Amino acid sequence: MDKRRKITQFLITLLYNPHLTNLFSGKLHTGKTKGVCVPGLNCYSCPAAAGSCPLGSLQQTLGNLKKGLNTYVIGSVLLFAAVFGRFVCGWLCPFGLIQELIYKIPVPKCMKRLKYLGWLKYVTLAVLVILLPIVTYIQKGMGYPAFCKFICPQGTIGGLFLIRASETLRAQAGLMFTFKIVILVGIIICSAFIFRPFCRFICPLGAIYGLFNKIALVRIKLDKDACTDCGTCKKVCPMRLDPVRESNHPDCIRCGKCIADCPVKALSFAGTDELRKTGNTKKAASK
Amino acid sequence: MKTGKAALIARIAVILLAITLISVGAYKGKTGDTRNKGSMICLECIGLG
Ligand code: SF4
Ligand code: SF4
Ligand code: SF4
Repeated sequence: MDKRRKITQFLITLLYNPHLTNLFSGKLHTGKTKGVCVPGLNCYSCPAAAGSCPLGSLQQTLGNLKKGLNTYVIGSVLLFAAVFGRFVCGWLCPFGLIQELIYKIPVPKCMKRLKYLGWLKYVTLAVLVILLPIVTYIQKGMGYPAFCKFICPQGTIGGLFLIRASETLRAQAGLMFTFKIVILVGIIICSAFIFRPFCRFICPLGAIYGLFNKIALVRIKLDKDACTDCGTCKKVCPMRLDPVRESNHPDCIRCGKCIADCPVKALSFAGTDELRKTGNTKKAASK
Repeated sequence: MKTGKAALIARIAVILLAITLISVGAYKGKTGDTRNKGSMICLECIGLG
């Protein structure tokens, strides 16, 4: 399962960012695909990006309400949330992959859940993604995307390529750029010690998807009769959850580790166990 | 079972709402807006704004 997930994460990163030569020229892709929001956090200001970032697009529309709300962007985010929930985080987001790769560095790991820090991402969502763009729009007639401006490390990574390629942009880099670099470096360092700190404590997109985890099409299902409550799943869960009691918790990124490691196969992705049972019955009948 | 049904109903409702919003947005040319925004360098994103 983990190998399949890693391959998917790499392929998705490439699918979101196919214009690799732009990384050197510093040009942005401007084709039709930029009209499409991708499910994961992937900056539209990254020269390699083919599509648009749902979180950036959401802040852009909230900060420019005189043009009318961009229902297309809101609908896209809702659709991803209702179908995938945080499966997007586990399988379809480049920044999730980056943090997981950094976590492979052999240093002591923090195994604590740090539950209360998890609330921070809802504050980020409410204040930086929703409130500040609207408030600054009301005050100045043009709001700014506050999460992009003050926090987003994915935007900073894209910016590094642009700034490297353009002298004009380099000349503009000041205190704010330094601040964003500090945030990026902080997240990178923390990622070596803590599994996906940005996803667990900061990311507003993960917060939105997490709210839909309970109703999303892709869910984790527990077969209570099969489960022996041995605690293996809890031990292996990288998000430090207890899948038996909170299989559809907002922080579950659907990585599938608990499913793969359960010795009695009591956990499954919703829908797939029914398919397997039907297959087994058919096989048994044909014998 | 009951929670499963409630989840199914909620999911269908959200998906229908999402499809409606996407269709209305696309009809009003909002994909073009999204494309325009995504095709310009966002100075805030890259730490220059
Ligand atoms: S800075 Fe971050 S949130 Fe903003 S558009 Fe880029 S990736 Fe999306
Ligand atoms: S929480 Fe955010 S950055 Fe992390 S995987 Fe999900 S969308 Fe990507
Ligand atoms: S509960 Fe299972 S699928 Fe969810 S994050 Fe933990 S190990 Fe991964």
